[in-house]
Formats: sequence, C-alpha cells, structure tokens
Amino acid sequence: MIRLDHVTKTYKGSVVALRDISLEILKGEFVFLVGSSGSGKSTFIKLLLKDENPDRGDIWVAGKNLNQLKSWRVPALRRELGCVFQDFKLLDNKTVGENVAFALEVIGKPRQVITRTVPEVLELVGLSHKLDAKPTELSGGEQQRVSIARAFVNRPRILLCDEPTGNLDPTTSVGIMKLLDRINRTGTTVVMATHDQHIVDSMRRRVVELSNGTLVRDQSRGVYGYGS
Amino acid sequence: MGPRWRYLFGEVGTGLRRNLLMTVATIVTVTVSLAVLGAGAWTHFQVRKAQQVLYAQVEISMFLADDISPEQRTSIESDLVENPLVEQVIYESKEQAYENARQIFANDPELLEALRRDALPASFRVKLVDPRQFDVVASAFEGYPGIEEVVDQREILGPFFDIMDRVRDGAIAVALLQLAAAAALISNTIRLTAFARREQTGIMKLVGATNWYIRLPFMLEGITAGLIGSLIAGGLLIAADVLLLSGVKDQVDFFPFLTTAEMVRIIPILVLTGVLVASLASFLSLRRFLDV
Repeated sequence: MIRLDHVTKTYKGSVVALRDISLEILKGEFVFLVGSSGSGKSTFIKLLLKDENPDRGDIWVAGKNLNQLKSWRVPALRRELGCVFQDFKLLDNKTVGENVAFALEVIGKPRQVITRTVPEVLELVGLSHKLDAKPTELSGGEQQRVSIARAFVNRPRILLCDEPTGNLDPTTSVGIMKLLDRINRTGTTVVMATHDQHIVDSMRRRVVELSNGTLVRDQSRGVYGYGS
Repeated sequence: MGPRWRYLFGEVGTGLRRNLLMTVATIVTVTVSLAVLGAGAWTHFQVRKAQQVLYAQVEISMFLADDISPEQRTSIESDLVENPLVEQVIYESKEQAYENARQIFANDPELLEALRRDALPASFRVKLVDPRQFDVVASAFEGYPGIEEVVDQREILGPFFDIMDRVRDGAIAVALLQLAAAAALISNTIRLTAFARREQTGIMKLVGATNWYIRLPFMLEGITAGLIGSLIAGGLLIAADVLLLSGVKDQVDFFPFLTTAEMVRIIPILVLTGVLVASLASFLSLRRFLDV
C-alpha cells in the first residue's frame, strides 16, 4: 500500500529532514510513526501526500509511483488518502454536516451520495446529534471526530494522521484511538505520527521510529521507546 | 442546481461582497479603460467608413473657368474619357453645383442665403482606376485651356483623417495603460480573496479537489468584474452616441457617421477584451498566490 525506497528529503538551507528511508506498509496495517519534534514525521506524511517531493528515492502510494505522477493526477491520489491533523482544520463558518459534505462536494460527488454518506459517517464517529452544530460549539475531541469523519467519508484506502491527539487530553485521546482502530478494522491502512507514549504503548501496533531523519527502529507490536 | 454549481455561485458572490470596495474600484477601472478603448475603436471604424464613402464619391475635381467655350469643354471631356488611368468622368454644371450645395447645407439657411446661384464653378468629377495616380493625371490636365484648378479631394480630407488616426492611437494607448491598472486591481483582489480563503483552499487541495475546481470561483470573480465593467463601457458608448453625437449627426448630414447599429458592434470587442484581460490577470495571480 505504501513503499519508500531509499528516500531522502532535504529542505532549503540543507536541513536533512529524511535520510535514506526504506519502508513498506501493507494494506490494512496500523503503523505508529514516532520520534521527537523535528525527527521528520511531518515530512514523511507530506511526502506521502505529494505535498513535498523527495530529493532521491522512490515512493509508491496506493499503487502509484509518486515521482512519475503528473501534477494533474495528484488530486486523484489524494482522493485515496484521508488526512487528520492536530489542529483539525475545520471551517468555522460551516456546520459539522457541511464540513463533512464539503469534502465530497468539491470532488464533484452527486447530491444523493452526499446526503446518504454524511449521516452514515457521522454515526460512525458518534456525532449524529451534532450535525447542525458549528465547530466552535464542540469540544476538542468532538472537533477531531468531525475531522476524522471528513477524512473518512470518501472511504480512502489510507488514513494519514499527523499528531491527531496532540491537542487532546488523555481520556479524549483514548476515544479517538478507539475510533481510528475501528476504521483500521474496516481494512483501511492507518499511518499515525505521534509522540504520545501512552497511546503507543497501550495499542501495541507496529512502531516506526525516526530520529533526525533516520529510521532507527521498525518493530511490530512495539512500544514508544526502549526505555519505557 | 447541483452542489457543484451552488458551491461555485456561492463562492463568487461571497468573494465579490467581501471585497466590495475593491470590486467597485476594479469595475470602475475596467469601465473607464474599456470606454476609452471603445472611443478609440469608434474613431477607427468612423475613419474607415468615412474614407470608404467619401473616397468613393470624389477623387479629383477639375474646376472649369467660367468663360470656358463649349469646344474646350468637349475636348477636355473626350481626353479624360480616353485616358487609360481614368475610370469615370462626371460633369457638374454650375447649376448642379449650386443644387448640391443647397442639399449639403440644407440645415444652414444663413449660408444658403449668402450663396449666390452662380458662385460655384462647373467641374469635372474624375474617378481614377488607381487613386494614387493623381499626380500623373493632374499634371497632364493642369494648364489645359479652360481648366482653372485641379484638386485632389483626398488631400482635403487627408489631414482630417490623419488627426483622427492619431486620436485613435492616443485613445488605444490610454486604454492599454488603464487596462494594466485594471489587471493589477483584479490581481490584488484575488490575492486578498485567496488569503481570506486559504484554509478552505487548503482543505480542498487535501481532499483531492482538482486545480481547476479550486481556481474557478476566483477566476469567475475576476471575470465577472471584467464583464460588468465592459458592459457598462458599452452602455456609455451607446449613450454618448444617442445623447451627444445624434445632434451633430443631424447638423452635419453629408458626413457618413457610424450608425448606432454599427456602434453596437463595438461592444463585443469591449466585452471580449474585458473578459480576456480579467481571465489572464486572475489566472496569473492564482498561480502566484494560491499555488494551484
């Protein structure tokens, strides 16, 4: 589902964000991407989205070689990926329902599909009753659920999460993780960048650790760090 | 209306309202520039039409002496007819000249009052196969007994047309400067809109909306401003024709003015220019400010 082959990414000013990363993530896997701030986790996610391009090495996502992907084909790639961020990225002037529907509207889905799938996915994240609420009226955990609903509403093959619990308290985070786990069980590949040690340790899933842009550990059913 | 269209029109409306002042400034600038361009186009087409009509009417006038004998006249006429450079010869007697003048100045009774019946000379109106051969024909007939003067009618009109052409060039130059200002305003409006909507466009890119889908509301915003401006400019042009020019047209009825219908045909040129400049300005600034 995702494969990186000797991928190196350097930003302007010669900061090496990722150094010679090779990695394969299979369909349906749940992978934690761990490491301290600046270790290259966000760059990793941006490369998978083709928001950034690598200096060297090949990346395959959902069967596409990103180096050979024409720029006009990038939207098609992103329709197979769902994205969840630490800051939710919801539009405050739209209701919960409209925020989720927006993701379908702008890729030209017909109205019948939108009116059917939006309530379905809100049901999945447990926010059916908040359909007409504005994001500002919701708690952080609820906002992140809306964000996950929006990422998942088009049934992507891969869900990319960049610090999804970064702004949430531990109890709320557990709820979000349960939701991501449920989504993973539908066959969706989940890649989650985090430095939340408790979550990683309690889930016991595959852990990939980056340190200063280098892959230092790839462990199935791992924990956050050797010390814990 | 599907979600796609509702989204599009909603976005265009919101954008235009959000930057109302900028939008008004843009439309006014587009209007002024295209009105000036319209004036330039009017001058151009007016000169072309006048040249066509007036040059077809007259080319050379050979004014005859009042004391010309009938033999001299016949000999000039037969020489003219036999000349291979001459296409057509029309004789205009003193009476016909007077009648023609009466028609041309029908609206100017004072002038007619002063015009004596025998004031105008008789003449031959000569149409050449190639009007540029004037000098050859003129020198051949100048000094003929009975010919008072050979006049190239084109030379009378020439300076007038030259001035009109310069007016046209000036108008187009001013219009181009104004259009550049309009393009800058459109570009600036789009930059503001792009900034105001950066969250939304960011999400759109993320969920896989195509670049054209993201661009379209912005482009339509610019194009709407261009379209409205060009239509107002067209309206101003017609208003100027009806309100200002119609009086002159009645007074000077020998001059082939453009009809209102012919002026309406300038409007598509304005609309096309306005929309084209607006699309181009929008497209280029989007690439810069929106990165799509």
